[in-house]
Amino acid sequence: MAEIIVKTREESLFEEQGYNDHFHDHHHGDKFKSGFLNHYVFSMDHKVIARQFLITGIIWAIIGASMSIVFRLQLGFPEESLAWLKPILGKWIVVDAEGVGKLSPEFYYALVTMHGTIIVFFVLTAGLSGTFSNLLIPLQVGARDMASPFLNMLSYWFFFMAGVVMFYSLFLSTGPFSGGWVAYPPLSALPQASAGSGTGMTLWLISLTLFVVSVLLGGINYITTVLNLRTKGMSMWRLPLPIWAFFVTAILGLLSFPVLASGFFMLIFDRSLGTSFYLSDIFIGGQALDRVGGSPILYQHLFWFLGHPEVYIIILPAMGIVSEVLSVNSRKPIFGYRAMVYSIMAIGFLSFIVWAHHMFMAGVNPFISNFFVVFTLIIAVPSAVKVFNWITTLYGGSIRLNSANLFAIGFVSMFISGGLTGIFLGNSAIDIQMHDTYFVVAHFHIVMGVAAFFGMFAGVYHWFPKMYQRFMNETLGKIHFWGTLILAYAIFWPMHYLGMAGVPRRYYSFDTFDAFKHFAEMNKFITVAAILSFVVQLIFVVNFFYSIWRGRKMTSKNPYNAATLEWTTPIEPVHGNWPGNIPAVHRWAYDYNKDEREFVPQYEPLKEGEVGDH
Amino acid sequence: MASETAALHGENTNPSWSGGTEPFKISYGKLMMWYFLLSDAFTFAGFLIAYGALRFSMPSWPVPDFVFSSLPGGIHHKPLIFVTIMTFVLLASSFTMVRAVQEGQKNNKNGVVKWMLLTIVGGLMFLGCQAWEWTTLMGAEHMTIKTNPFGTHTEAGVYLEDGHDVKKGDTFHAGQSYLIHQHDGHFQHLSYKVTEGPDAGKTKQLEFGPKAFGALFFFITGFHGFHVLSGVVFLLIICLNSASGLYEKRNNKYEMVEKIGLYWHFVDLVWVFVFLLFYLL
Amino acid sequence: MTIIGALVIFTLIAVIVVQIGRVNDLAAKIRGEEEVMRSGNDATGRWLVVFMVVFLVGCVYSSWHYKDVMLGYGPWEASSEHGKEVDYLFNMTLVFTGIVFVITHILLFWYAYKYRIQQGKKATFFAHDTKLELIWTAIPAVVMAFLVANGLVVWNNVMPDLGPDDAYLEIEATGYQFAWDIRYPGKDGKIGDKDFRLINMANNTLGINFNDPAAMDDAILSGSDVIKLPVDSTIRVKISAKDVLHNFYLPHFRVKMDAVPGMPTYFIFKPTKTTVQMRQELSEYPEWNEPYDPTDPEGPKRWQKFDYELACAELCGKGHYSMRRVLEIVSKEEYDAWAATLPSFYKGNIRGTEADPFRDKLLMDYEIQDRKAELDATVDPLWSKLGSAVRDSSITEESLILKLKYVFFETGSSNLDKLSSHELDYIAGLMKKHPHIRLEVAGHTDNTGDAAANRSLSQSRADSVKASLVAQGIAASRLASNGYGDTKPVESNDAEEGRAKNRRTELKVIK
Repeated sequence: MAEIIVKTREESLFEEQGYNDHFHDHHHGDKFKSGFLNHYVFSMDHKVIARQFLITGIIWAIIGASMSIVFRLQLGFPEESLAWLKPILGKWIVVDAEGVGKLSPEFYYALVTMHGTIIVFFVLTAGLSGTFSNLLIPLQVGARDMASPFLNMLSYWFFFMAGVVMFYSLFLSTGPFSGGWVAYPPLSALPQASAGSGTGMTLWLISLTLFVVSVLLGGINYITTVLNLRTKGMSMWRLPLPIWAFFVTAILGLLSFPVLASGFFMLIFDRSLGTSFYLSDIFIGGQALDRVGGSPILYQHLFWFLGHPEVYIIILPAMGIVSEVLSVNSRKPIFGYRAMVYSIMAIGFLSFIVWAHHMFMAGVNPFISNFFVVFTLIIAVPSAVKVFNWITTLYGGSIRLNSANLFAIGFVSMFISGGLTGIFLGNSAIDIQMHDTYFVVAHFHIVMGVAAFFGMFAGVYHWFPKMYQRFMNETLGKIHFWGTLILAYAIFWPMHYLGMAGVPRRYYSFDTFDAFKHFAEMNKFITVAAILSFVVQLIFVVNFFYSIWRGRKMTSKNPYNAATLEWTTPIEPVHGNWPGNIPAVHRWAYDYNKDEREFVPQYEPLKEGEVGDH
Repeated sequence: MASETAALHGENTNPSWSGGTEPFKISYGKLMMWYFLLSDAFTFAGFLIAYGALRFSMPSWPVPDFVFSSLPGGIHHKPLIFVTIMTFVLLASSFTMVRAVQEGQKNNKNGVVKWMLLTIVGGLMFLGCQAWEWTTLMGAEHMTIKTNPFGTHTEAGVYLEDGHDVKKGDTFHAGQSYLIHQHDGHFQHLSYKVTEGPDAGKTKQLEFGPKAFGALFFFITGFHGFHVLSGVVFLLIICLNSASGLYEKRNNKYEMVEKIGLYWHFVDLVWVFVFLLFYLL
Repeated sequence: MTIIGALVIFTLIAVIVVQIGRVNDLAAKIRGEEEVMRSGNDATGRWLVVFMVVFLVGCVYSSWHYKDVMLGYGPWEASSEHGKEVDYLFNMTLVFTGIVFVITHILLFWYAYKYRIQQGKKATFFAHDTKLELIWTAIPAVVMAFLVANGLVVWNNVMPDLGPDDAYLEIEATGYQFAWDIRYPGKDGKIGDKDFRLINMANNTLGINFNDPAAMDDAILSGSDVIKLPVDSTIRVKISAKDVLHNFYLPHFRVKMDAVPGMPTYFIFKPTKTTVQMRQELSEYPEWNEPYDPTDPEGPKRWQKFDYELACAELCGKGHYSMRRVLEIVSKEEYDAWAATLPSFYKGNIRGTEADPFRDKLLMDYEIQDRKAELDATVDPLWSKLGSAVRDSSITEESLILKLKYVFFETGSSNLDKLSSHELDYIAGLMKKHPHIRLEVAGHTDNTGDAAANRSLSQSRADSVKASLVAQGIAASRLASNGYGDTKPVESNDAEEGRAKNRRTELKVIK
């Protein structure tokens, strides 16, 4: 009897109309599958690389968060003994005659510095962009893999090496670098200024130079793939918003990280070869140094030329993810798709011309600061537009409040809260008082340390099935959400008050100053909230790793009934993503509840007279 | 207009950007090289901006005509001739690179190899010249990244003692350059008397020029030289690959030659900027 | 052991967490997935609204609870002129952002609840609305423009430097690891030059360049001195650093500026509240009436011990948090009186030492001025009193002796160095002013060398002085001149110090 092979509508469409790039003609006997090393370790498959970035990012997040718990213990409970940490932290805990252990101030500053460096670079740049750009770009644009899988693989391994070097620096006897994640010279250039500015700083610079290479390799790949490897019919205006976000992010990284690298090279020269790019008129350690003519301000300009786009490199992918998750889970198109795209581009462009708002009080000519104030407050406009669009996406929807969507909604709340305080800081006159106080700490933690993380969590919960063919546990996800939402506000909201009261940041202790020492209760509260929040994140970690092996299995290709292409690949992923042709695309990515159909996937051809673009 | 309404109705109006093709027919390999060059351009831009910022914060800066005036064979006082020769060599190597790419487009293996070899020779000559220049500056004139014996007078005066190319009683004016020579391991900070301005009558000694000059010169030309060196290495590899017939078999033929050609032109362009900013301005 | 214990506990907790997770899955199997999802969704939606309410109420409540840190309110009013404007800007921004914050949060959480999945309800395909989008682009743009305009007006008033025609008091603050050195300008009102290459840890830690005349009268506060400044006066702080970046931060005055080695910066402000006034204002608030030291409840209250403080606000190493100095704002009169007592650093610490570039110079210009002032202050009134018929009891024998300070002789001779003319001319002038005064010029030596030779040298030196005064037009009859040799020492001749004091020329008022 003849076998009747039933094809789904999807399969038929792909076969007839799909984009045949003759991939499988070349790739029989899949070379990707050769050996354990090439399959799991040095894999060139973007989906594997995405998971490598994610897991490495999670590990670094745990390390970075643990550091914050240790220094928060010192800040919140300065009279309590930390001697019990001595077995782990050794000489960094100083125990006095009565057995009371305190963090040594040098180590406190090392922790603060490492916390910032690790979270900003390793977790929120590599862990966020690296994971989701790698996972989603080929899948959502309809490509077999990245433009250069080899360079993509290198991009992960440079990140890994950067991590190894940074990790090693934690164990030096002089300690890791301790001059703040911004590493301003002369403090970072002179080993005599601080113990951590010796070998620790050298390793920090090496680590971050490797990291810059990783970012550039990744970025080149992402941009090229988005521009050149879109499937048939996938015009730029049909790209899902995460892709627009990752694309602009990659451009930002490509143009801004090299300037950081140039700043770092000159810092390396000043440190090791006696040049004076950033140093002048210094008397330290009992002697006048033979360094004349340099300018610490030059470093600040070069650093913040990256530093500002960097924070948008962190937030834009989170924004893209949130747009997608909100839309899919509200069963409605993202409101104002074109405005969203233009906002992403505007934010990307403007992010290059606002850097000196980090330098209002640096001694820069005040006249120049005028321009930076104007551009900084202009950036608030596209950001506001995005917030309104997200809220309007929820309006009139049929909203599924699963963990992913809850984190997406939480992202919007955090972005509003943190973004609004940016308006205070961007106004230079207000910054006179607020610069380098806890107000700034509150601002950037809420937008980066919480909102960007919420975006990352939303992405992880949402695309976990795509990565591991299983679902994460919903109950634990909800506990994670509520715990984090409440505790994150508990940690960072009070910091606004500390900042308004003038309490400076990067202070080991507040006892020296009458003006700053009356907030002991508040500091205790913040520390307790931080510890609890850390415990809640461990719930996420347990959920994540448990679900990889024992999560509820994915039984259908498209469990969320989403319209984008990543849900058209088989449940068990294959190299080259689609076993046959790549689907051709006929419409934008957000046809939800359109014309009596619950949703219309992108590959579905247009009906007579139907409009497919917006 | 018609194209907009058509776009709204889902038709592909601009086939180049509608997916499934390479916009403007640029292959992704070439595109990636362009992006890499863009990022490298920003790195060099960072250095050159640092150069600008530091230079214009100094009251005086060594005059390039004076500093760069030697030629091999003990010839002196020929301002900027040597660096002009270097620039010409590099530009010529860009021309030979263009020829190599053209030969590649005609699938002429021998032509590709010949012109690439000439390019490599040009690159090596440039590197040799740069090495000679560095050796002269460091060995003969004792300029390092920390020490800059080239200075510029900011006031007029008269020398009070004999020096390498100066006699007691020689006068000088503001803006004139000088070099502090080294004898027996010691720098000769010749004394002079100021003849004009607020310090007139005072006796002073020649001082080192701005430290940043040495640091920036060696740093930026070194970074550029590193790019030339790696370019030469890649050119060699690709030349050998061409000779072995590897590219003939590929679908995109000699595209790799085009890509390295892009890199080589970039290196040349950066040199033009460095030459402009360091030697001419 | 602790590590193993921690790992065991962690594993147990992980197991518990996993079981909690599986509860819902089991429930779903029993009750049907749809229904569990729907009721879970409803519950979550409700909790979102609860959170919204609790959150917004919490924000408002906490702001009220911490109202004392609201800028410009109550005890946290700015103590400087521009500070009030900064506070005003902050509060203006707070109003706008507060409104946006509340409205967007209400909409966000309310929509998440209201539009959750409901039986029979479908989502609406609402993809864009040009008019709405234009409105909500225009409104933030207008609000931002308004905030920027106001902010920049304040910025451009506060930040630009003063001109040569402006009147201000300039002080210098130099940050280093881990304290501040404060320098006052002295009578000339100008801070002298400094250069890091002149820094000498023993006697010139700031590297002041004493070749600059403006540096002569500068005073440097000691580490524990309070920085006093006059109220209602424009102050320009010249800010610099010795080693790494620091930041000059006065929280109460809304003053903040980085201190950069190699690049002096500045901040200009006008204090409006004296420390005493501030303390008075703070005493109105209950939390400021708590004891300053919690272990000493009977001791002074917080408001009584209030002081303005200077802190560092740019990470500068391990002691960054401990760079404290106290500021005191006082009335102009009190400031002037205090500033006049500040000793010149050069005069007190440098003059005559190895670090003095003028140690070979016998007489400095300021010394001439100071001497004239001294003579005006002591000799002039004394000689006036001597003219009146009644002599008051404060006039002692000792006070009638005026020891010449800046009258120098060439070694071993009685030839007057021409620098001596400054003091002698001035004394001649005073003698002319007080025609009734008659003086004995007395020459004295130490006990080194031959007594007779000393006698004769001291005599001829006294004669020289007399001759010089006579040459100025003083009648010779008004002057006697005597040489006492070593017969009238004022201190023991054993040490060089004492001998130097004994070598002197004195003028004594005689009947």
